[in-house]
Amino acid sequence: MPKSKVGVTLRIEVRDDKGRVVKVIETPSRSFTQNFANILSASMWTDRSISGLKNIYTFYDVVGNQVCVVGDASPPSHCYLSLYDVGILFYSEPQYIASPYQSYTIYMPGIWPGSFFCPEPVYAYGPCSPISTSVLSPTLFSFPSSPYLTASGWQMTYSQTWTNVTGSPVMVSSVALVFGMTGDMPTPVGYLLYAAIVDNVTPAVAINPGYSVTFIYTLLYAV
Amino acid sequence: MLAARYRVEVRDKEGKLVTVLEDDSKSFTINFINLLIASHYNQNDVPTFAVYNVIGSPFYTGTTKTPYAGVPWQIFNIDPMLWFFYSDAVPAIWLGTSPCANPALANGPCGSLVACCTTRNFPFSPYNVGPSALCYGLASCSPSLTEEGWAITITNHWLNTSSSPVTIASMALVFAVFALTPGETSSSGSQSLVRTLEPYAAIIDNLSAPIAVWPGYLITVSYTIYFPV
Repeated sequence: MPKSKVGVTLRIEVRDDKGRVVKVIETPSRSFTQNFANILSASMWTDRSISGLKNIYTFYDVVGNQVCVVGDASPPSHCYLSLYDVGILFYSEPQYIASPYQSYTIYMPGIWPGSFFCPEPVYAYGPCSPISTSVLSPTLFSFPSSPYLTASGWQMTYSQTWTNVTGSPVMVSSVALVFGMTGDMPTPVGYLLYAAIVDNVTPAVAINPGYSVTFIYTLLYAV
Repeated sequence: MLAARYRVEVRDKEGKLVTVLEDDSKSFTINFINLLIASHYNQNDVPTFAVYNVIGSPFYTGTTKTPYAGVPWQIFNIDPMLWFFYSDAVPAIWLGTSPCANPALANGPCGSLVACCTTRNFPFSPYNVGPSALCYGLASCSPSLTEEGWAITITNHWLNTSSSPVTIASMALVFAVFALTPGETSSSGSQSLVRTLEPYAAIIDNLSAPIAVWPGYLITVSYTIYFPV
């Protein structure tokens, strides 16, 4: 079977404190996460069928909590949280995020930077060692608002800019495309945050004080 | 993000494989892309997109036009227990007799719809779809990690139960979402909402060569969607 012809591109632009582009990296993205694949698989079924199939889907949120999608069955004791089913998996706005994440290092969907490389991005829960918003300050996450057909297919572009607001350089070694997800659950808590894609940035990128970095994921759907 | 491949197998009455087609899928549809974009928003700001179900009837994301899907829920749904409750439609790969002029802008497989449903009004009947089959015989229950990335495979078997050969020239991967339409107003002034299941085509492809399926023959169609790793 031939290799897939379409995929995901990660572009990284670093700008100095005057807004001049000083560095650009563009590379194919490597890693949809196992968590994304499991959430997508679970979203094909209603709660009744998940129970009937005796198939519990599990995934980890960005904090590393194990979440179980169990249908009408009783959740195993190791589940931090359980859902009956999965309904939404691409939520990209800052409102209605479940409360535990609102006090986390980063608190909304977006493209999160991390200071460490991830040993295996495909199994990572998020960027490795996420960088606090008090170090790199984010703009709002930009996500698709209308269909855009290119010669390569339907193009979906996600971007977010982070500015170093400290007095020291900051190294970015990994990034993650983080979405909100939700489903029916015993007590609604808002959207849970999970990483759909995790990539290492090689070589790592240094962001000097006052400099900003923009991460752009371009996803293509074949046409 | 997504690359998909389709595979088509036809077996004769004895189960012998007589035809195999396999190719890259060409066309995620605009209907899928509109639902996907709408699912990034919350209920208060979701944009209004017209989405067309497989037979070409519109419904809308958001809540400003009816029938409305709001923020579309479970845009990848292929759960037959749900579908059978609302209709005689069968998830998830439907077949048409003609190629589509522009699959990305089509609403479903083109020409006559010949495989979609459990009723006898169509030449093809679903085969091996039900609770006794693993994941209803429709899908891989869990994603598998392949050389191409995470792979999710969705499959249908259709048996030609008519007395004539049928030519297949296009196929569509059909998911479903719910839409709501205001119904009757009660004496207390509250208005009911009628919930309808809206099957829509996420991917449509013309087959690289039309295939004739003879009476009693079984056609197996599958899509595998790859997420790069």
